[in-house]
Amino acid sequence: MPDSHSIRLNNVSKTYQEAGQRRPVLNAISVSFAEGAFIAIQGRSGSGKSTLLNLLAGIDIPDSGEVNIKGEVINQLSEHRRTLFRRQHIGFVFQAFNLVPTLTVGENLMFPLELNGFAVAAARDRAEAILAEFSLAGRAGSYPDRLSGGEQQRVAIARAIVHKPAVVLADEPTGNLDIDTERQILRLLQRLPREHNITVIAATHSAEIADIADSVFWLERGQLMA
Amino acid sequence: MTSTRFRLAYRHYLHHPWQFFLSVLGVGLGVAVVLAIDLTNASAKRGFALANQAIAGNVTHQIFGAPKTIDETVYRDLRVLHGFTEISPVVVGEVSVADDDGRQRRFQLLGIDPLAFMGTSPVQDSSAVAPQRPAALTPLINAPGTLLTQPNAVILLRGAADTLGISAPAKVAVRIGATQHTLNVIAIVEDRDTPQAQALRSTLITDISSAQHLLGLAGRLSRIDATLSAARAAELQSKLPRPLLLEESGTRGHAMQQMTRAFHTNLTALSLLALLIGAFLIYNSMTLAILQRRELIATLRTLGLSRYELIGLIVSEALVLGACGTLLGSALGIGLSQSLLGLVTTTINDLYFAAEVQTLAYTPWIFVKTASLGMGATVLAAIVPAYEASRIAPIIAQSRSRLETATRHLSPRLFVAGLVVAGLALATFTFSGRSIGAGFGGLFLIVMAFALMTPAFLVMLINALHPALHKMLGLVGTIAARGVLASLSRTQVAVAALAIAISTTIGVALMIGSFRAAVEHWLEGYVSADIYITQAEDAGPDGIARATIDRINALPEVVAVSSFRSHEFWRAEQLIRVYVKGLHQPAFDDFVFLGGVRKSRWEGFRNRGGVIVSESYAYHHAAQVGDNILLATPKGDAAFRIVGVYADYGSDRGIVTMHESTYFQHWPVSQPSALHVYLDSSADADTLLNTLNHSIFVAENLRASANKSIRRAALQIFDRSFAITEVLRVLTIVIAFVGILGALMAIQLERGREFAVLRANGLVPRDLVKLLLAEGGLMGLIAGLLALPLGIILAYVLIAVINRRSFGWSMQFVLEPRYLATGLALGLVAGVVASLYPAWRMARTSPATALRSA
Repeated sequence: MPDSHSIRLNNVSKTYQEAGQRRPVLNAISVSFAEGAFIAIQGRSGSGKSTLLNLLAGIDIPDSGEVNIKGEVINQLSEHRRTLFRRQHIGFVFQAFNLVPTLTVGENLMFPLELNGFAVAAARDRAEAILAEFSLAGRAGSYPDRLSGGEQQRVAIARAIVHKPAVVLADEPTGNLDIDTERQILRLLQRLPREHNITVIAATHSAEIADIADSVFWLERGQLMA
Repeated sequence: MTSTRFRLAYRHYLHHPWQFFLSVLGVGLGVAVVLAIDLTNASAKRGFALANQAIAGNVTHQIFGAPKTIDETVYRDLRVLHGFTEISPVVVGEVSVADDDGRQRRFQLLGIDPLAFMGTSPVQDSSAVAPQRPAALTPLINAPGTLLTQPNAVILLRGAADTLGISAPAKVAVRIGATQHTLNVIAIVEDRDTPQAQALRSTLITDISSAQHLLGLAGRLSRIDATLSAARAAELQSKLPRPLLLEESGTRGHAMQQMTRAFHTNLTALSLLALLIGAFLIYNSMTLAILQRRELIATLRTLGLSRYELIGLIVSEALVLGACGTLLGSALGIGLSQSLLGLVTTTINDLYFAAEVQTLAYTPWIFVKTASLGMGATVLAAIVPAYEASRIAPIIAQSRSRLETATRHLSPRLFVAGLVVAGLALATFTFSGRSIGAGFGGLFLIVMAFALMTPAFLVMLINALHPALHKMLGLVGTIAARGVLASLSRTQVAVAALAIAISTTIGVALMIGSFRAAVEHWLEGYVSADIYITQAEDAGPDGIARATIDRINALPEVVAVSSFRSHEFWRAEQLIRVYVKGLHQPAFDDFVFLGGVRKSRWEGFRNRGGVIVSESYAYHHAAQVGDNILLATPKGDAAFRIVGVYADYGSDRGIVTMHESTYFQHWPVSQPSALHVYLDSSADADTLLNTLNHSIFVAENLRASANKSIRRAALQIFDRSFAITEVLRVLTIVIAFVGILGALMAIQLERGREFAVLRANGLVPRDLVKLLLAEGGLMGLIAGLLALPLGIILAYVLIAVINRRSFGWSMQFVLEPRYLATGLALGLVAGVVASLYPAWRMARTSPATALRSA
């Protein structure tokens, strides 16, 4: 029977050491996120939102507890296996877009596909299809620095879903954008669960996201509250 | 899948072309130096081997005189009385010929019996095979009569004729010793391209009697060549009068090549040092390229690029850089080797034997070896940065300052690692016996140890120099100092590479300076006579006449006359050079003996048949006082006890010095070939030389020189010998300069936003230039300061380990301050000059543009 909560955190804690001081960020968090939902994580700066996303992406590991995605406890995998898991099942959207400046828009989308073993021609076709879906069909040959902020973030979202991941993690996806562009990006993110059956977990300060998200969680003093 | 990754890498360099160019240039120069030295060494060796082979043909054995030449009656007896028709007499000597540019060139005068030489004389024994020679010499067969009948007739190869700008028939003026002769060129062999023809391009071939006449060897032969089966060789051996030696062909050539082994090894090691610095540049360049792309790498890792894939990507980048550098280096190396070939052959000519090599010996192996070294060094240099890149967490949050702090915290650990490597170097020196390779291995470990310690020293020196900089330049000085520390991950490698290059120049300069001082000091004692008289090279083998010696002895200014003869003995395939001297005790006391003064030494040398040996002889033969040296005498092998070991830089293979009275106990009495004349302290050598020039020297066909000119000539040869080392030093500095230029450009151009903020806050372009020059100057100065102790250590190792193991010489370490000052200035200038372009560019960039693009 398919699990409708394919993303679970069990008793997850994370503490940073800074200048000899322990700074607990996440404190024994246990939570499940519904598959195909748009989830917003809110909290003050430094509350641990990005840390939570990093743990979900497997680019950081908790001090204790389990991060379970699609039945795999990813923090128990080796670094190499975690990377392979991430490349297949996770997409990432950053506040600063983080497109590869030396690759064209089309190539930026082809990169995760090629990592996942797509042949060049197949990767190109798939990238072009997604770009067309995101109204970026004419920009495949452009370099990222020729694009506006909104366009860059659309490319970033396209790159995050191009390989059909289970989860897209978005860290302040609208933090660098004006209000109109923010709305466009939110609409795009909102479409992902419905049209692509992708779970979107966005860490954000944005009040607008909270309005359109399926679930909103508040992170404070290491605790995640619905 | 590889296509996007490949684009990722190459587009980075497309955006930073100067970084790509300087990296490739750094590796290219390193590879060029290695290839040039390798090609030059191989060409010199091959040239020598070809020359031997070209003359030897299918000769299997050679008969040599002991100690010098062979009486030609021996040849006649072997051929006529004992029926050895497969032998051929040879007379060899050196002559000087002015080429078409008026420069004096050394040629080998090869005297042969055309009939016997070409194997065309009647063979009595049907089983015997007469010596056969290369096809290039077949015209000799066609014109034997002319060569035999016309006095001073010679035959040349086309290459030699081109060098001299002549065509047959022609007359060529040659100088043998002090005497001019005219030779008649009767034929030119139209062969330019075969290896034998190339090897013979500095050879004049003549009839044996002409050679004997020209070289003053009437009735004597240099050697007898033979083509013998093992049985015939044994038979000939039994017929050979003592003390003649029958040796397998090539033994001496091989032994002579062995003489130059240490010389070639030293050059190779210096070239590898240049490649090491090139590898440092690659390390530097790859580190910079990774640091510049930290955020990108983190993004790629987040997208799912694994560590191994990332390492593969970076190593592939390095491979492309290495391949481009190797290609460039190969082209530069071929050009460079053309220039170095002359310097190497000049040194071999000065120090070892006549060798004329004008053609580079290209073999695929040399290029494969060089490419492997270039690519290997590049990949090795890239492995650490690649590993570091793989450690970059996919979390973008890590700030630059945190990275630099981590780098600073790592420096104490690197320092300790440096101490461990230094300990390994010491252990290598202590436990590696006499191995030259291990000596260089230890030297390289010291360089590595120093590189590991550089970050800690850099932080310490910046903190020490900061107050002075602040005082001189105010806040700009403070920013400059902190700028170097703030980019420690980048600056430390650049400073280490520059410091190592400067220390190499300091080390080599101190070594050469100490060596020169030792040679000067040695010459003072060794060339202690006031006048040196030798026979002209065209004089007969009889030596200086007794009457002449008496006349010189009778001069009122003369206090003493010491006789001199030089003989060569071959024993166990090794050349032993023996100087026979009629020394008196004051001259003997001028020798600098190791182990101090001992009164019994003179007694043992003068009256008890003992010999003294040079330090390098003692080293290479593992001989010490009390050991015996066996030499072949007319009465059989005789043992000579070593009674002393003396300092000597005249020969790196060693000298055995024997008193004349000892010599006469074993060999027939003969006249000396040279005289060392000691004058009264009130007499002037130059005045006496002028007075005696016509009355004795010209009339007796003697050459005389005052000790001053001999010392001067010796030092000239010394300086020529190190000319190639100087070239390598300069190249090393060029490579390091490319490195520091690349590093500074990367560091400073990357900080465009920071400088733009300073400009936005009111810093005028002039101040920005001052800031960048101060940073570059500071890095250069620190590299210069760090190079001082390392340079001194390298010099010490070169003197105490490398020179000792290579040549058997020990010498006093002379710390000449000017070399240290030059090194310091070199660092400062390199740092400032390398900052000029980035400073100019930054000063011209509008702050708005820099802020936007950063």
